[in-house]
Amino acid sequence: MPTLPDCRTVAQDDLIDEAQKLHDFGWRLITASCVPRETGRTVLYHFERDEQLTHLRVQLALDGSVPSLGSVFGGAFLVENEMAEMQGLAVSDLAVDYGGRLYRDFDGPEGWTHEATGATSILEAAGLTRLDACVPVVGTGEVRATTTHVPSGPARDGDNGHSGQEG
Amino acid sequence: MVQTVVPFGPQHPVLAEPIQLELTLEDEVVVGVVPGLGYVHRGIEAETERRPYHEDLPLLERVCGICSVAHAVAYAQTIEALAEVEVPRRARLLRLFWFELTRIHSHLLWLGLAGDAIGFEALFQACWRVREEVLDLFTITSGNRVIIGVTALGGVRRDLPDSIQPIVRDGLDSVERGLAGIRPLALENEAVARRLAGVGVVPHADAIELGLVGPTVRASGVAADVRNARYGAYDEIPAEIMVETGGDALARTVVRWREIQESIRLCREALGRLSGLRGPLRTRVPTVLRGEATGRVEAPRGELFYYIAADGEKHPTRVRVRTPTFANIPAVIRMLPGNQMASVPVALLSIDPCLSCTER
Repeated sequence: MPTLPDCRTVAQDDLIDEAQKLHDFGWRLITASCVPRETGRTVLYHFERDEQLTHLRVQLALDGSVPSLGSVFGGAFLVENEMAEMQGLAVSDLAVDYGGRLYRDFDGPEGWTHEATGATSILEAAGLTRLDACVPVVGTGEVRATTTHVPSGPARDGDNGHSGQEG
Repeated sequence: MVQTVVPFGPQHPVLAEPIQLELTLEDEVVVGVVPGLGYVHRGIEAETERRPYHEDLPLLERVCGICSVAHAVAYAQTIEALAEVEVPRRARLLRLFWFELTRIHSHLLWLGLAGDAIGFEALFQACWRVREEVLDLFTITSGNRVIIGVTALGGVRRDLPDSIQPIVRDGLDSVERGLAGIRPLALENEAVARRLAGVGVVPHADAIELGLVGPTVRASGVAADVRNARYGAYDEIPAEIMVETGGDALARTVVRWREIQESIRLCREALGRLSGLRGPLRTRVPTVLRGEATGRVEAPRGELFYYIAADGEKHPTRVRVRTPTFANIPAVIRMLPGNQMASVPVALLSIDPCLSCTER
C-alpha cells in the first residue's frame, strides 16, 4: 500500500515549531489537505524544496484544532480558511479570517456580503449542504438523491432543490 | 487621509470570471486588498469522492477548460502512483506533446487578454488568431478544440500516428511564423512596455515567502518549475526554465513569451521521438485502490498539486486539488498596495488568474 514518503506525524502543539524549522531550511509550503474521517480529521501539510517533497501529518479528534501557519508562511491563510469552511477544521490565529465566508454563501440571509454575522443560512437550517442546492428537481422528486439528504414533501413549482425549506 | 473601500468585481471587463477584490484606497492609491471568492464554486473535490476513479478523470478534466490536460495528467499521475503502475514510454511522450501544446495556447490566450486589458486590440486579435492554429492542432490530434480528453489512467486514450506528423509539424511551423509577427507588437512595443513595466511588482523575497508558482514566481527571479523534477517524459526531454528578474507585469509577459518558444521546441522533440516508436498506450490500473499519494505537474499557470487518499473502495476518500491560481492569490495582496487604482486590472491580470481552477 503506497504511503507518502518522508511524512512525519507531529502533535498539533508542535506544528508551528516544526513548520518553522522547515521554513528556516528553505522548504516551501505547497498546501495543506484535510481528510475528514468518522473519528476525527487528518491534516497534512505538504512542503517542497529542490523538487523534493516532505509532509507533516497532524491527527485530530473531531473537536481538535490546529494553529495557523500564517506567521511562518505568508500564503497559508487561504488554504486554512478553506479547510475551516469546507471540512469544518478549527484553525486558530488566522492572519486573514474570512469567518467561514471565503466561498460566499449566496443562499444565506446575508446575501453576497462576507461579513460574519453569526446568522444561519437557509441551507444550514435545513441541514443541507451547498451541493444539495444543485440537485435538480424533476416532477416531484430529486433526480439524484443517493448521497445527499432529501427534503421531505413534494416539490412546488419554482423550487430549486430544497423544497419546503424556505422560511 | 480618508480611506475609501471600493469593490473591484466580481464583474469586471478585464476578467471573464468572477472574483472580487475589496480595495481600500487612499486617494487613488491602493493601501489594502481582501480577495473574495465563491461566486462559481462547484464542489468538484467533494463530487469526486462519490464516483469511481475512472469517472473522476473526465470530471477533473473539466475543472478548467484552458488547462484541462494539466488536471487530467496530474490526477492520472497521482492515481498511477497509488496503483504503483508505470506508464508506457509512448504514452508519456504523447502526454508531454499535448501538455506543451496546452501551454502554448494558454499563454497566447493570456497575452491576447493582456493586450485587450491595456487597450491594444491589435495584439489581442493577433494572439488569438495564432492560438486558433494551436486549437486546430488539438482538433487534428484529438478531435476536440478544448477539453481534449486524451488522458487515461495508466496512459493515454488516443495515439498520434506517424501519418499525421507532417501536418502537425507544418502546424507548429505556422504557429512559429505567427509568433514572429506578434513579437513586434508584444515585446518591441513601447506602449506595451510602458503599460506593464513597474506594475504589480513582487520582489524576489516576497515571491519565495508567499510560495508563488509558475510564471509569476519565475518573473521574480526564482527558477521554480515542476518540470525540473523530470516527471513523465521530461526525464528524457528536459525543459529549459525561463526566468526574469523584474518581478513586474512586463517580466511575467516576457517569461510566458519565452515559454511559448520552449514549448514549441518540446513538442517537436516529442514528435521526433514518437516517430517510429512502437509500444502500448496504457497500463491497466486497478479499480480499487488503497493508500495515499501526491502528484505534481507544471500547468501553464504554475504548479498544480493533487493529493489523493484511498481506503480500499472504488472511489477515493479524499481528492485535494491545489491549483496554481490558488497559490498565487496571496501575490495580489502583496503586489497591489502602492499601485494606482487604474493599474489594478493589469496587475491582477498579470498573474493569469484562473477562477475556474480556483473555484473547483
